[in-house]
Amino acid sequence: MPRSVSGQIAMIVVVSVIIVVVVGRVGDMIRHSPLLGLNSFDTFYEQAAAIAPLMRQVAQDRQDDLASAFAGTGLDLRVVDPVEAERLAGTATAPSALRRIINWIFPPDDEPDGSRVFDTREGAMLLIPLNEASTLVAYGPPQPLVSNDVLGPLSYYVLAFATLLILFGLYSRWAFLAPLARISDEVKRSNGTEDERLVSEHGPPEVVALTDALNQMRGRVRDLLETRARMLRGVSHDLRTPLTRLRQRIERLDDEPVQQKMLSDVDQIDRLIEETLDYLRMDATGEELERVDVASLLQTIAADFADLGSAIRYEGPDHLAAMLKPNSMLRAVTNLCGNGLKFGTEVSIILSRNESSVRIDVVDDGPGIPANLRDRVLEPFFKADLSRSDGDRNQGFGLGLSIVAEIVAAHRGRLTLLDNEPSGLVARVEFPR
Amino acid sequence: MSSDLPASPRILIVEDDPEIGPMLRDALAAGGMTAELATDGRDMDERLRGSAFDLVVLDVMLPGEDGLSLCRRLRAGSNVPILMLTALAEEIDRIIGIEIGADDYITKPFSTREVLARIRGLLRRASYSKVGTERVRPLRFDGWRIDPLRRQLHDPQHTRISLTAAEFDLLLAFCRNPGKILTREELLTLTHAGLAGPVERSIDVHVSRLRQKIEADPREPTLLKTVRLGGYMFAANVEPA
Ligand SMILES: Nc1ncnc2c1ncn2[C@@H]1O[C@H](COP(=O)(O)OP(=O)(O)OP(=O)(O)O)[C@@H](O)[C@H]1O
Repeated sequence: MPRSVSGQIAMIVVVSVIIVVVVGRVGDMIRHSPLLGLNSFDTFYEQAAAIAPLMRQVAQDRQDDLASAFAGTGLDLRVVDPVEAERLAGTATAPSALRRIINWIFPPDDEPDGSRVFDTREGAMLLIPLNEASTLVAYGPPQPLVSNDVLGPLSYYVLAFATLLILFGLYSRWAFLAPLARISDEVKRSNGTEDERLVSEHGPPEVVALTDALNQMRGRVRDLLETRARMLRGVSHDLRTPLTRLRQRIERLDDEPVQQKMLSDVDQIDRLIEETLDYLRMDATGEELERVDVASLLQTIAADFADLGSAIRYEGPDHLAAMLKPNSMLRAVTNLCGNGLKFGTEVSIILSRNESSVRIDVVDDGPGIPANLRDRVLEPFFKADLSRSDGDRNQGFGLGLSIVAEIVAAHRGRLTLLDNEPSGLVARVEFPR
Repeated sequence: MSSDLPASPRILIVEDDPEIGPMLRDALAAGGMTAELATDGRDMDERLRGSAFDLVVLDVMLPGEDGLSLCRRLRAGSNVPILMLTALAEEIDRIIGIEIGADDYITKPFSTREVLARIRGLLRRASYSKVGTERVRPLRFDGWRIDPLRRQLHDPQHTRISLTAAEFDLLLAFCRNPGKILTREELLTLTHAGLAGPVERSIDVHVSRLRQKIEADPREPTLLKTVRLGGYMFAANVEPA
């Protein structure tokens, strides 16, 4: 079995030729067998066509005798004048529609001696002009629908065509379509950063090469993400050291109001670093999935918020085990709850599940997010309420929801923003169990 | 509470930044501690040889041998509480994990007040629990597994149960004192749960939350029993995991 596509195609062509020759020969044998009845007309035609030239050698008045001499051999011959010949031609039955179609697709060869075949009620009638004064009329067995000279080449055409078609169809399925479908499945399923490679164990080298190329690209994407994250880590580290000094110096100031303002600036810078890092971290280095009791996770979040003085209600089962990345998921739901409290007053976390997935709804009673902005608020650094000026220290950076979306994607899940009734936002996190 | 602490705890700060180190030292001194400063690993080793310290504050990024490796080395040979300073939140899991073995961490930029609070907390913890590897060994009760280092709890089906910091400290305190009646006051000091946030929670609130998570039927507790007039008692059999 050749390994390259061109080799395999060449092999298929060779195999097809062998099949065509063998099957074609078998077909010929069947066609020539007397059972099919194709032969009797052919024999009759050949005999009549062979006699005609002999007849032309014979004197005009002896032609009749010669014709009648064949009587009893199965060849019914007569010699008539051209006028009578045309009359006989007129009495022939009109060719059937089917015959006309076949004749149109495969035009009968023009006979050099001008012979014509007609169908009559008894069988076939052959008119072969001998000279200006006489025409040979031969009656024989009925003409078959398709003649051997059509059937022969035709069957080879069809056979070759069908063989190639079927073999190439099967081959391309096996060699290209199936592996390609598998690869595209894999690519769709993967989030581009996991270490597992695309499978490529079978298929021609060209397909294997494609998987390798995709694997390499995936590696480059991962490297890129890692470099980016590493760079950001470096920057954040180098930013935080002077920030620490700044903070310590500020703490030594005597002017309390100034001190407070400066400290909150430091906090804001620090939060920006933290959130940016968080956003970038989600894709590159990952926490492992583990079996976690989601209910306890959400209860913990609710309790932590409660201890900070904001009531958040948890509704759902007491226990529900699912595969997730606990720290990331904690972070995501905490972000959603924080947003809910920022824009609304009452927030609940509702946990439910079906056979295949877990759903966490974080519901608030704030203004909600207009439908046309719902896609955009998931973009990093997008803030919907631009009315609030930059001077507002409580304003976020527009990273919160982007971080949530990244985390949910890392769980192969989905984050949807919906309307709450009568007002407010439902942030829905769904991921497979 | 401060009576449990050494009169003037000796703290070793390992920090190479020429400003952060001295400022931190001054702040600790102002907080009633005796602080010394080392600027790298070699300096640290020398000072540790010279005298005993009650706690080490260790920066992660240091010239030469880095803080993580110093911490690992320190942990191998001694039980001194270690507080790590890090600029990266994502290192935290490793820092307090088995691999590095620090007792607590604080992220830069930190406030002096926060550092002081963490140091006091660590010193208090050290004075309460028998310091040693025993202190960090995972424990098992009734099929459950609690890992003090990673601060993780797993149920008998190996599902991780998430706890708040106070709930975890509380459960750990119970696991270290099985079959003993613990009063609310004792539990409060063991867990510093009262300091958790701006909202003061009674021990009872934390206990009832904990029951929600670990009892089959929180209304009929079998593990965490209420002792009338006394406090609470952990009724499970606890053994090293
Ligand atoms: N629960 C909500 N109700 C109404 N609007 C919301 C809600 N959550 C988010 N938004 C809108 O979406 C925008 C983006 O939110 P996102 O959480 O990404 O960032 P942020 O809140 O500005 O700050 P941070 O980065 O600190 O979380 C916000 O500016 C806000 O307008």
